[in-house]
Amino acid sequence: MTAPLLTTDGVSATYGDFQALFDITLQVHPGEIVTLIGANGAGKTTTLRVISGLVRPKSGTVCFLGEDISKIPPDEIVERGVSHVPEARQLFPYMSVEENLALGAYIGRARPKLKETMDEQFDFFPRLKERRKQLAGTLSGGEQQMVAIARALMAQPKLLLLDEPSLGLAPKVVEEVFEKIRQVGNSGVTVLLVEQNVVDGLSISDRGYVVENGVITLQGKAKELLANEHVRAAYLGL
Amino acid sequence: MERFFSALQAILNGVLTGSLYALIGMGMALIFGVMRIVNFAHGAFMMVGMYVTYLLFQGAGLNPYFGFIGSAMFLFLLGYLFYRGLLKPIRGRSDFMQILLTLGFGLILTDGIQLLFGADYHQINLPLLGKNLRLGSQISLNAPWLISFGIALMLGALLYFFVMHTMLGRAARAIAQNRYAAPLMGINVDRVQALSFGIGVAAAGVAGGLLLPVFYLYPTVGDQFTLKAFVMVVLGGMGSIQGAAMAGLVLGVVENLTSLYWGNEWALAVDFVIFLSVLSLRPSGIFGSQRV
Repeated sequence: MTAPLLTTDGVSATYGDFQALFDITLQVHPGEIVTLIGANGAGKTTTLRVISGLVRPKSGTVCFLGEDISKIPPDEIVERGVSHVPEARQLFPYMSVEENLALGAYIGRARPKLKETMDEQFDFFPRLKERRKQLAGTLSGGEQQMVAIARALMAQPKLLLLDEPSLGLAPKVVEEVFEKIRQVGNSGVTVLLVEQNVVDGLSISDRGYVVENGVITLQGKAKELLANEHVRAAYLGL
Repeated sequence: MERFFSALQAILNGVLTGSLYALIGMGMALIFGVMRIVNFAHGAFMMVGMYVTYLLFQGAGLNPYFGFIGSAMFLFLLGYLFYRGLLKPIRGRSDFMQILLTLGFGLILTDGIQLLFGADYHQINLPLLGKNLRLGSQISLNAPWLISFGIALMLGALLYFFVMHTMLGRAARAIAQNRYAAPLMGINVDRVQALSFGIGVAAAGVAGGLLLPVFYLYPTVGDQFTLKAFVMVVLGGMGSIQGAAMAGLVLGVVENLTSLYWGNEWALAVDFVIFLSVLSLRPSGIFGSQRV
């Protein structure tokens, strides 16, 4: 197997006195779609926040392309090729769709190609093209999620972190969003996904990790996890 | 007819005054929008701008209509360093500490200037000062005010363009609208905030330079402008720079009309009646709630 694109090695993280992560070790290989599943508050979001530099790990390292990124600031991590689509979209509500996308290409590496990448994103998300002048805060939930993904792709990342993209969306829209994520993965972008929607998340993934109370308790191929007794009982109610 | 012209004259004078208020308010709104900080040193920064322009005039004979550029550059630097050196270390602490810090720094500026240059009133005499542009037989506009108005209008438009249409301005608005998401775009939040603070304070410095030909200069001259700038930020919708600019014009006109009908001493009081009414009846401001 090729060298991993991302490795977290023994990462722990705390919020004040509360320890959110214990010894999280995971790998993501180039071209994979990997999903972290787990209950609310299990530490999935914190794991993504450690990778993108928003939370500093208390111990352990985060390696991206073979270099330790656990001590560099979030804006430089974006520059190196990691884009993070945060939970609940976090758009710039009083800016148009176009301006949100333009901000995605803020970093020096992406800025000169802003026009081309924006056209690419509008081809990929035709609905956003129709709404390009509309304020992001006035879009539907599904459209906002598309903007959040397109905005992250504007930075031309090697690794895309996606936090609960299905949150608060109607089932039909969820399907649409996951289809887009699958296509992003097929286009060569590596994806690390966090989902409570276990079936949809794992069904587009190559591999998965189960996070419980800040610890990785299970890992394996997505198909195996979907068939696993514990996963079926705890997350699928079967 | 007489009454109509005196009112019209007051309104026009108000627009001229208001254009300088607008610059001051836009600077304060930019800082408030991007940092959620009420810069209680804003008027003191403006006062420093007046002294810089004054010294350039007295020392080098530089006309204030060019000297304001020096004032803007000096204040940009001062604001940038103030953010880096003092404000940044206490970011994330309570609002109260940030209020005390800006308030305290304003006092240091005011008293520092008093220590260096004394508390005397100064005024510069430009030959332009007595010149007026006559419109018909009833209306006349004072030349230095008109020039200041023209420059303020240009720079206000430039500042607006900068904030709305450049990548750096966009980054500043991104921070204002969603501080959590901004670093995920690769925005170096500290750098953009330091630059925004510098630019916001430089706008006050420009206004100070432009006020010099038509105003008395003394160390506490900025105090009333801090309060006015705060009023403008609230009227304009808490961080909207176009809102603050509009509010500046409104304030200028209202003050001049108040002076005309009730007397000069009521002008500031009326500002605060408007301020309190808006704050209690329409806290999102009178020009909508859209932020920076």
